[in-house]
Amino acid sequence: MDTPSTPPASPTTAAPAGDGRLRELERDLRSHRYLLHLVMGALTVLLVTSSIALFHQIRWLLAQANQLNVTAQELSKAVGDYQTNAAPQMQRMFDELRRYAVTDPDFSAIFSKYRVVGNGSQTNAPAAPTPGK
Amino acid sequence: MGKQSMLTSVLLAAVLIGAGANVLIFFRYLQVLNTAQRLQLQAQQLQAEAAVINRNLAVARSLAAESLELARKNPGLANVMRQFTPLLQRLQLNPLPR
Repeated sequence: MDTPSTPPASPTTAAPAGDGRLRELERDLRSHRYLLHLVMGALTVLLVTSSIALFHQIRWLLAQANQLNVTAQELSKAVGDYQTNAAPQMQRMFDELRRYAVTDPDFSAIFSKYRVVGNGSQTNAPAAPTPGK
Repeated sequence: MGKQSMLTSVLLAAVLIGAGANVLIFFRYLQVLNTAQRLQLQAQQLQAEAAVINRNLAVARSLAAESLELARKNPGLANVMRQFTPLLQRLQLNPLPR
């Protein structure tokens, strides 16, 4: 047990000092509680604001995604149509014209301007001809 | 004192609910962002394909136009070109009369 070095205060002086300390603690508690409420309120406002902002961002992104989806579907349809209809016909036309060019020198001069650089790529495209230089 | 404690509880609940909602919305945001990026990539690939197709069509149109021009004086070539009337219409060219 520690023994106080100073003589114990008389009851008449100890009571006001204890009350003062208690009041001080209560004041601190009130102040801390007020700060806690303030921080929690601010945090709530921040969370709600960021949630609303994210929600709007999601809506905007969804609209963009829908637009992209429509574009992608249209392009996909056009590419599919080309691959199934136009490409085989074009390939056949190039083949026929190449055969004809062998027999007709006049046309051969025209056909030779169109250089066939490949036999279709992954798009199942017809021979991708490019005008000769 | 009870009133203060009640306010603390209400605020704590609000913070927890707000944090939970925020996390859920954030994950949804990531999900939508991922979908949008995937679609964008797909659209870019399709646009590249469309560019190749347009180039092919332009070249085919040019060759067909020159062939048609010559075919007016050349019956042999005219016979060849008549086979491709649907394609010529597709290429917005006037096919030879039958």
